Amino acid sequence: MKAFLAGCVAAVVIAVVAALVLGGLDMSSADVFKMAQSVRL
Amino acid sequence: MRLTGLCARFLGLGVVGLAFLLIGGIADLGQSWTNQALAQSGGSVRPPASAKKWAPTQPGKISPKGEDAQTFGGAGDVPKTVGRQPSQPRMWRDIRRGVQGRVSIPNQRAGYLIQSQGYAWQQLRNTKVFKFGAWLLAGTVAVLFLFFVYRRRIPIDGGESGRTIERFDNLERFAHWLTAVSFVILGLTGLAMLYGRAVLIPILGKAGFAWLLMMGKYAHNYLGFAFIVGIVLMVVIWLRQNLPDKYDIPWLLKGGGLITKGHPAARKFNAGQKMIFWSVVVIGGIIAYTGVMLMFPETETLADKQGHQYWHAVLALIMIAVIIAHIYIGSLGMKGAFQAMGTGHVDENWAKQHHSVWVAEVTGKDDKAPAGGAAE
Repeated sequence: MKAFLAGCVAAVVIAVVAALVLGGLDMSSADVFKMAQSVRL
Repeated sequence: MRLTGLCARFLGLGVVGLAFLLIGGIADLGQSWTNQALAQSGGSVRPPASAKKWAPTQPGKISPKGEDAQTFGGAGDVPKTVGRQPSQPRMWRDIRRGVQGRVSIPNQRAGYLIQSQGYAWQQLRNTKVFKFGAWLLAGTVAVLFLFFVYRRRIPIDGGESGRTIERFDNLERFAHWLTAVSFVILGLTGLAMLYGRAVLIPILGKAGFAWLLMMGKYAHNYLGFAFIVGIVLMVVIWLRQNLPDKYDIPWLLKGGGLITKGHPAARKFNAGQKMIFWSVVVIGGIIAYTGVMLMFPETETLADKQGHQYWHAVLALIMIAVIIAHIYIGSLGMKGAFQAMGTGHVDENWAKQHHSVWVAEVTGKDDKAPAGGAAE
């Protein structure tokens, strides 16, 4: 039972860390927001 | 002994690295086959006749006749929101054939307005993959039900002894449950993505389904990393014990004692468990690889992404079927099996029945099993 709970907690922790890291790296595909200011549409 | 164990674990880590390189290679090879299949599907740049038309069926106020007629180089009606433009069939034909324009945003792939292979991929996913998964999962459940009717719950021959033996330590059970919990959620959310429109919208409504799928997508994306960590841990811990040995062929020839009476000998993992282990490592590894690739849209072309998505879905469906069978035999299908991952300790008679060689190795006694063992 303890191993099961530890597995659940670890899964959540790893998922949260992954979300924070990937969010921090801004891996979104909406790269229109990364446009240089000099670029005009 | 401790040094040997340590060396084995480092060896396991090395093998994990090699395995992931191999898996990447296999996935890319499979993907190139898929891309070829997608490219050859008709050879036409036009959508198949069965493809959905996104434009309204009524052409609105734009007259289909005369000099202002809008042809757009292909099938489909003119949306009401499209204003009058000069006819440019050649331009649209080129766009359909994949001519790339120029864009001023960093993602140069946005220069492709239409990727015609996408129609073939959409058809493949929404028809063949959809049906394949439904038949596979329904068939797995049906076969397990029939097997239960035939074999009932496999008992412990001679009954429980009252003495237990440690089967899995804390680290082993932690690795198992980390992988299991993440895989169950990944499987459910993945199934919701593939079958949700057909199954969940009638129950939850469109708004409820949209919310569930949005949450599911986040869970699916990020729990994927927990699944990868679980696979790596399992390889490091169990690789050595899952290599083939002399007991595997006799075990397979006797059907693992599942169909017939009498239980073949096995070490810590019998041939059936080894097959599940390697399924998780190889198929799970390819699923993980393709899943990670799908998370980074900038790193590949749309055709690559469609190939990865196809293999991700097909292999995940196969994996779900394998794990359903694993869950059945490890719980309802066999008395005494769940304790192995539940408490880590199993009854001695159960252990002798299913893993007689392992018991002899652990206890140092060459006890004969009461009868032998089936897969769990």
